[in-house]
Amino acid sequence: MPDWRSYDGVAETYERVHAPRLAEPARDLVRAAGIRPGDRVLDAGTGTGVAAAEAAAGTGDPASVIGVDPSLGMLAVARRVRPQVRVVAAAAIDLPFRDGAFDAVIGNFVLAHFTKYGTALHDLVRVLRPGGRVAFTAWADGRDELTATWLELAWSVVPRPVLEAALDDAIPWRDRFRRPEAIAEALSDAGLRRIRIDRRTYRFRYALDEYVEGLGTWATGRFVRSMLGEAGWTSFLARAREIFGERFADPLLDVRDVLIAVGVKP
Amino acid sequence: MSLDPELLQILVCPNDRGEVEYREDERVIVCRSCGYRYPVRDGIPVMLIDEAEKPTGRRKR
Repeated sequence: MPDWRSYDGVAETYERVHAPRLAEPARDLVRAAGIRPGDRVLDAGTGTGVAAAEAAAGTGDPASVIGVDPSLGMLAVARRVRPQVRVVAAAAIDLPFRDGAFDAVIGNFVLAHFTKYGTALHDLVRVLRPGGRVAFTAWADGRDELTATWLELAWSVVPRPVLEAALDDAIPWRDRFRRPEAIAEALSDAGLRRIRIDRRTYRFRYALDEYVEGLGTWATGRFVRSMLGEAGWTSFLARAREIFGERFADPLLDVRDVLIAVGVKP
Repeated sequence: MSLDPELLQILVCPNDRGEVEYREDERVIVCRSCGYRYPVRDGIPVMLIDEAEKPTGRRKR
């Protein structure tokens, strides 16, 4: 049984369902990071290379952007779909790069995943040159109707405390970094200055089938799937499709608030 | 398979940040100080300490 925390097994679905949506905040992330032609950029937690590709468009030279991710499954998709992006399998906590190697470091929805975020941020700042910028996106509040419906479904098959404990393991800081003050504090503790945090709203549209398929890629979905097994998961998804179909118009509209944080290395 | 020279220029060992060299024939990136060997799979350098082949016997660190 593969580790449910890994993205390896969901890379293809992630690319099909989520990558096109996540490109939009990634574009704003690249803009917030002030990426200019000639910059060398590190995309931490690049996944299938969505933000790295946006950064490459900003630098004008794909070779100047490197994406790192611990999941080889995600990186294999990145190489196939976005061959222009350089990728390296690496952990944010032990980055295999020289001090000051990058002009900018970006991370699209990765901050909450860093178990030891202080250590990870320290290392991300280490590989940045003085005057370089760090920029992150993070999901703001998660109390929308779609999320509520999904959690209600998940809790019907996995006891809430069990699911919560699993999430604490996979995305330990998901609640902490919904708050701009917490992000500002973490960036400041990592030695960054001139910290600025913006909030922006995105309206993601999904066909019902696509939305339901995408559920399996989130950490909660991967965990529920590992608990139910494949047969159980298939019938669970059928029920999910029914319930989402009853409560929401197809295509589904997912309105999400996103924080975009930037800091500068002195 | 060759690796991007620009990437090799900034790459170091995640274990001890030592200088690394790419051995194309073996498809492996080797740290010159600790001797850890990182595989290159389908053109992707796997710079994860857990995945590294560690030298046996005499410790170099």
